[in-house]
Amino acid sequence: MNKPTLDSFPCLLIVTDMETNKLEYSNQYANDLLGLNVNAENNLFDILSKASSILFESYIRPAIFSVGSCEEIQISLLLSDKKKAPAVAHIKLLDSKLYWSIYVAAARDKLYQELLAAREHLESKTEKLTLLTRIDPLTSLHNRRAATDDLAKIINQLKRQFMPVSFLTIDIDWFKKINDRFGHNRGDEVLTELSCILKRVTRASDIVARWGGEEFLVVLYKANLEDTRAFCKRLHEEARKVKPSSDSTLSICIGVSVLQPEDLVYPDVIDMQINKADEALYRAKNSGRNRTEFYEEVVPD
Amino acid sequence: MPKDILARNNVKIIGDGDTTIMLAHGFGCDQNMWRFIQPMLAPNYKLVLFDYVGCGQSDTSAFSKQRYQSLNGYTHDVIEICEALKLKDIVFIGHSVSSIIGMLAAIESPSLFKKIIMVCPSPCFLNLPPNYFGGFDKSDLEELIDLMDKNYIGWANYLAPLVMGQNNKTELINELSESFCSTDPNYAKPFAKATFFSDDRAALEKLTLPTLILQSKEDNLASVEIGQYMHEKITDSTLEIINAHGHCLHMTDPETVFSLINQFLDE
Repeated sequence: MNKPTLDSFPCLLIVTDMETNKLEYSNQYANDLLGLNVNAENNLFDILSKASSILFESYIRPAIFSVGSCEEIQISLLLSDKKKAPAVAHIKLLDSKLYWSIYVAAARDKLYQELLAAREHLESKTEKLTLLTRIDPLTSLHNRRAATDDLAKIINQLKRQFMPVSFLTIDIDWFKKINDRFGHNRGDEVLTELSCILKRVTRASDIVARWGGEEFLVVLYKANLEDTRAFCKRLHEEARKVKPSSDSTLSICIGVSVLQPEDLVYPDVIDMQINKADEALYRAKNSGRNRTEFYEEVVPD
Repeated sequence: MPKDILARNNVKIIGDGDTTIMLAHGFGCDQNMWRFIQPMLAPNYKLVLFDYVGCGQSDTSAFSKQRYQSLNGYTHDVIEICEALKLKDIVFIGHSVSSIIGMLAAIESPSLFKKIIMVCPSPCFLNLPPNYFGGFDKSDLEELIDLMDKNYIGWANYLAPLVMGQNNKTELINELSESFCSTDPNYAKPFAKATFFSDDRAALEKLTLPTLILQSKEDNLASVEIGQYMHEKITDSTLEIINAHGHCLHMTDPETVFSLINQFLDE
C-alpha cells in the first residue's frame, strides 16, 4: 500500500498569504480542479469568482483579521474550464498564512437555491395576503384594522415629535334612502365614488379608511385648524358632485376632533379621538346635516 | 427621540478632544472594524461610533425593507444620529460605502460635517462602458447578492465552547460568540443591494467639503483609478494612495491611516 498523502483527500487544500493573497500551496486535487500551473505564480483572486472576492474583502478578511478564522463560507470557485462551482470553505489564520479547506458543494447549493425560491415565494404570498387584510374590497380604501394599525404608528411618532393632527369621521347623509330608492348597487357605487374623492383630496401621509357602513375616517397629518377647515369645506363641495340620481346630490356630515399634545398620555388616545369626532358628527347630524362640526371640550366653571 | 436613535444604532461615544469624529463602518462588519485605529484616535479626538440598522448590535426591530433598500435609508441613520447628539461641523470618516453615505448626508445636511475622510471608497461598483469601470459586471453583483443569501457568517458559534474546551471561562466564550462580522441575510442582502447597485457618481460634484480620499494600491473593490476618478470630481479633495493590499486599510494599516488623518485635520 502506498504511503498516505495529502493529495489523496477529495477536497481542495490551499494556503494563501494573508497580505499579498499569493497562493503558496495547493494540493493535487485543487490543481486538477482549478487547472493551476504549479510552476506559475497564482493568486487567490484567480481562483475565486468576483462576487466571492467581494465577500472575501467585506467579511472573510476582516473576520479572520479579528478572530483568526472563518467557518462554513459559501463561495464560488473558478474552475479550469472557466465554469464556476459552488463550494464551502473553512479558513484559518496561522503565522500570516491562510489555510483553506474547500469542498465543492454543487448539490447542496441546488438545495439552497430551492430553499431560497421557497422563501421568496412565501414572502411574496405573505406580502400579498397582508395587503388584502388591510383593504376594504368594495372601495379599495384601507379598512378599520389597517387604519388602527397605521394610527398606532402615527401616535408613536407624535410622542417623539408632536405635529398638529385632526381626526375626521365622515358620514353620508340619508344613505339608507339612497339604498331604498335606487337600490343597493347604486348605494355601493355612491360609496365608491365618495371613496375616490377622499383619495383624491388627501395626501399620502394622511389616513383614509372605510370605518364601516357609510362611515369614513380621515386623519389629516400636519394639518392645523385652518388647514382642517379648508379641507372640510372642499370635501363638502366635492361630495356634492356625486349624483345618486339625476335629480339629487350627495351631502355628508363631518365631525372633527383636533388632537392636543396632552391627549397622548392616554393609552386609548385613538379611541378617545374617534369618540370625540363621532360626538361632533352626531351634532352635525342633529343640526340639519350637510355640515361640519368641531368637538368642543366642555370647560368646567 | 435621541435615546431611541442612540439605542437603535448602538451609538458609543469615546475619547476626548475638541474635535468630534464620526466613524462609519462599511458594508460587511460593524463598528468593531475601527478597533485597531481607535486607540490612536481616542486620546485626541472625541469619537462617535455606531452600527447601521441591521448591522452589529443595532436594534433590528427598527429595520424596514423599504427604508434600507437604498443608501438613502443609511444616510438618514447618519443624519438622525448627528441630530440626536446635536452634532455640527464634525469630521466624518467612512469606510467603503460609508464614504458615499457620508457624502450624501453632507449634501442633504450641509451643516453636519466640516471635513470628510473616505477610506477605500467607490461611487459605483458597476462597469458602465465605455466611460466608467467600477470593476464589476451586473452578473458578478447578482452572484454576490445570491452568496449573501446563502451565507450565515459568524453563526457557527455553537462550535466555540467545543473548540475552546468546556472548562473555559464563560466570558471568553461569550466574547467569541459575539462574533466580529456576523451576517443575517435578511439585513445583509438589502445592504449589499443598496451598496453594490447604486451609482452615486453624480453626487461627487455636489460635495464641496475638504475631502481626503485614501485608496489602497491593491484593492479588488476600489481600484486606484476609481480613487483618481473621485479626486477629479470632488472639487476640494486630496488623494493618497497607500502602498498596501486589500480593502480594509484602517484595519491592516492603522498607523499609516492615522498619520494621514492627523495631517489632514491639522491643515
